[in-house]
Amino acid sequence: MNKMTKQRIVILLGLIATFLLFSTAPGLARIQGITKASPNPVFNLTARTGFISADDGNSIFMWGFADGDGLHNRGRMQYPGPTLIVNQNDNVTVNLTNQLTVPISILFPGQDGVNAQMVTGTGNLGLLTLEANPGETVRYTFQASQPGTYTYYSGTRPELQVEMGLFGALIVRPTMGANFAYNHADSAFDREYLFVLSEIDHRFHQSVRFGRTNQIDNTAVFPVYWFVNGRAGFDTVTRDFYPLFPHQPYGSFARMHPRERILVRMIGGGRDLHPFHLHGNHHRTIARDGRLLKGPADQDLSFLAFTTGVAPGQTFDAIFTWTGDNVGWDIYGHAVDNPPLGNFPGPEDVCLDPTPQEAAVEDMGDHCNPIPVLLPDNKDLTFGPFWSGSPFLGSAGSLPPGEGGFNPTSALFFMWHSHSEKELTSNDIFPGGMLTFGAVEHPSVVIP
Amino acid sequence: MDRFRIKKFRYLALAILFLITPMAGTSLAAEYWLQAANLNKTMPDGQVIPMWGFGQCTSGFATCDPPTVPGPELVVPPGDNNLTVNLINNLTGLFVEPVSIVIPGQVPTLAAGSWPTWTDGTTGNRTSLTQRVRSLTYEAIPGATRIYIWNNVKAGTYLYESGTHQQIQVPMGLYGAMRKDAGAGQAYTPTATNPNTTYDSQVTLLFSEIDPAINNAVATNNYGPGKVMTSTNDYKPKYFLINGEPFSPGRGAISPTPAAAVNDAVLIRFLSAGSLDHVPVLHGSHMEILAEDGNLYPFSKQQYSLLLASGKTFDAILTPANAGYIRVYDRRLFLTNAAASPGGMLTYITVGAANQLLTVTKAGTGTGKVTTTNLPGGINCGLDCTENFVSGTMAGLKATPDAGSQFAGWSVDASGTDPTTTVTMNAAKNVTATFTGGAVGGAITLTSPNGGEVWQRNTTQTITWTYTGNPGAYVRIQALKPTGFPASVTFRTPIGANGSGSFTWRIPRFFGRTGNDIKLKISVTTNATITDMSNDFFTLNP
Repeated sequence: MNKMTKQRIVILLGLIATFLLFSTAPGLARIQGITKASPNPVFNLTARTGFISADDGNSIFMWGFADGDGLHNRGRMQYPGPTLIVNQNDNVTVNLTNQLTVPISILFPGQDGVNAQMVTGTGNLGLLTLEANPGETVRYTFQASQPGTYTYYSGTRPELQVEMGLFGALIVRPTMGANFAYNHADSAFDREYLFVLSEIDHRFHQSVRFGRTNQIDNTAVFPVYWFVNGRAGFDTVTRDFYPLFPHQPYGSFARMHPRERILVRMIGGGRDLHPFHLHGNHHRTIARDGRLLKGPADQDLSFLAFTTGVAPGQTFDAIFTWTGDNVGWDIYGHAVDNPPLGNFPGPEDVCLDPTPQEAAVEDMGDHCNPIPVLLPDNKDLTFGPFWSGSPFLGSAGSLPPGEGGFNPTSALFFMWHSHSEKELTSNDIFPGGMLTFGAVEHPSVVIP
Repeated sequence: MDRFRIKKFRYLALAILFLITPMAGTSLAAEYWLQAANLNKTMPDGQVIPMWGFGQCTSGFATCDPPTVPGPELVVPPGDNNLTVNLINNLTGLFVEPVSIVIPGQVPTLAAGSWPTWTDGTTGNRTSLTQRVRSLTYEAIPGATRIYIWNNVKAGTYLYESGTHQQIQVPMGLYGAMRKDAGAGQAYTPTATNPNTTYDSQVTLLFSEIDPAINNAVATNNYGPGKVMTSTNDYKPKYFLINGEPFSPGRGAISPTPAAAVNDAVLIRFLSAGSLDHVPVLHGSHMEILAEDGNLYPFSKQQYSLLLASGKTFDAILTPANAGYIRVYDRRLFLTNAAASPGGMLTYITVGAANQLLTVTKAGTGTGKVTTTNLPGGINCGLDCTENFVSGTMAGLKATPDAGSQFAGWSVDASGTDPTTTVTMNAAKNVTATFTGGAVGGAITLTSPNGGEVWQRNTTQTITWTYTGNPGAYVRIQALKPTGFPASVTFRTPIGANGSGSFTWRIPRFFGRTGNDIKLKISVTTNATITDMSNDFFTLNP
């Protein structure tokens, strides 16, 4: 049954990827979330129960936040909670309505002067912030004075409620403009992607499901599921709001063109540190905990890394760029064996001119340099779903029937994943877990 | 608190002495006398943990304070380059072993050949392939003293700990904080790019853990090769401590020294003596992280969280904008005491003067406890019935009656009968919680069936009893024959009121105990010793 479902997913994915290819959505990729009118956005969140799908077929009982207005993800409980997107200096209001059976609350770490008051009911003062009892509504207000990537999560028994799914992302856009992460030119980006990292010990969820919360020993926690934006690999590469995942609306498939500046927003949503590793290039970490890494006289304190240790509750912003520069061969495959004598590169072979789109991003120093290996015959290759059949960007080579369905645009796929390799599993099954992809698309491919 | 003040005065006195005797040839030296000794630490759930800790002694070990976990803070005054620690090993019990002191990040003055200590007890160069390192320095064997000297003490925040058999001696509790400032009120010598190293008040937050299994194995001589527990491989801590205590409702806030006012620069010294990573999160403001492992950063870092790994130290400056309580907790979510919530690594730093006194009084014939339910805690009455709060704090209180007692209501500065209430601490407040009922105890007597009755399955019968005193709120009833197991009539039904109670028993159609030799047994659910049986057999027909 699971296998059949998987096959169906594979086919659907292929279709969807094809639709993506012809999509004509304007503008560049934006993180999905709830936006409200500046300067006084009011978010209505509701906490309720639901189930998420792990990639091994397991359904896991969750507590999660939902859009109380019923619009974002149709108001369903979601994991992680709705990404709240505001503008710097907004006076943010979050109304939290509790439809669970236990008191809950929300903390906004990194935000100064959060005020809390009850809208309905008496609430509990709480150990960390004001709490809403079941059926009650509590209101949190604060001014989002500093731009950046932040998180929010439950402040009531967090060891249980964060585990159960009560956390999400908060993005504060700077006054400098829509394509900046902070008020600094160094934070400019072309596209942005969000990666909320978390883990689950499903035994705790079963205990809560069966009303046996008192049997949970938090000190015996042993997570066996790992997620990016609430989905496990390879569910991560399906699009946002994909109907197969009604409670996991956010994908984490990072598509980009060569030379684009990709803003990577990373958040530790769970309880463990996850070393998040971006294949393809180093990334420049520009901010931590919502603060740009700059000295008092604007000294640049950013740094290159290929793995970021995302500690729980922390946030990181990084700029990732893939250029293809200096690889030593022409990644667009402008040199071809023509006429096809089988002697490539031979003296009579042709060097094509780049298309205008290619020319804009190509490292001309490598133009028409042949790939320094003799390409093996198809029958000597192992195929994978993300392999297009050609080493050249945007070039679909020949594939045996039924292969390569995930990569109709012939992108270069780089696995982006937790470098704690154990976390590439879902309940002991590889591959899965904290695993997604960055894909470099040919300049002619329209990325929504 | 008093200890700090005394210590400070002592240094002040020494400093004055030093100033008025400029001919003194040697520089001022910080000297401590410490004992390593056993202690039992009681966790909030009542679990008693056998531990080893350091305690401060007077000069020459004349008298020693009881050991504590963490040990006393070792302070080296600014301008003083020397630290001397005299250590006496007072460990006793089924298992004792040598101990020592190391300060990672500070270079000790060690004679050649005096270190390390090998498993055969010798020091110096390795002379045999069977030798393994037992101690990073020389040791004080049980009953003996040793002197440890550092002659080039760097400014900063450091952890001191036993350097011997660390995998158990550190979990057993042999650790503490050591600090030295670069100048008066100045943590480090500032640089052009990290200039703000001065502070108005300071507070130390030392994170550590306890795995009771390891401590109990060591204390009962069940740890080591060939014994029950052979390694710390299965380390799985159950208690998570800040400054030696896990959170519990009775634990009050931590006050910086001196008290921090709004917009003060509060230096927070983070240390971890635990074996797991922790991520302290501070709510209310970002902090400027100045230094790591006693090394000033080229630039400070602005973060609201900190990845605090084992054995590390950080110094951060927090500038609170409001009076109240800064919430600090471990975002790795070690926030329970074993399975009990709340607990673990959660505490509060007081900002502003905590000068509004809340006094809780208990009244009435019954018993119970009153605890604070919200930040910053501090009341666990009858053990701790007073707490000073920052003006304006909303103190939530919860009354929990003991078994047999009932909560009757609040009075004086609170009112109502709801077991939770809120007191706004804008002045000194007094709250009285009244409990009715009384001590658990008394007797119960089954009055029907009491022998001779003839009952029939699938009919409804009434079981009655009387009681005296206050046996408990609920009873259970079972049917017995002279042989075989008892069968349950009801697991739990109210004991009744005014000295008598009854239970309407619809006897099941297939009830498994029939015959003319049946008795019923009634007992209090919370105290099985308060019980009674039918005086004689009655008959239950099938």
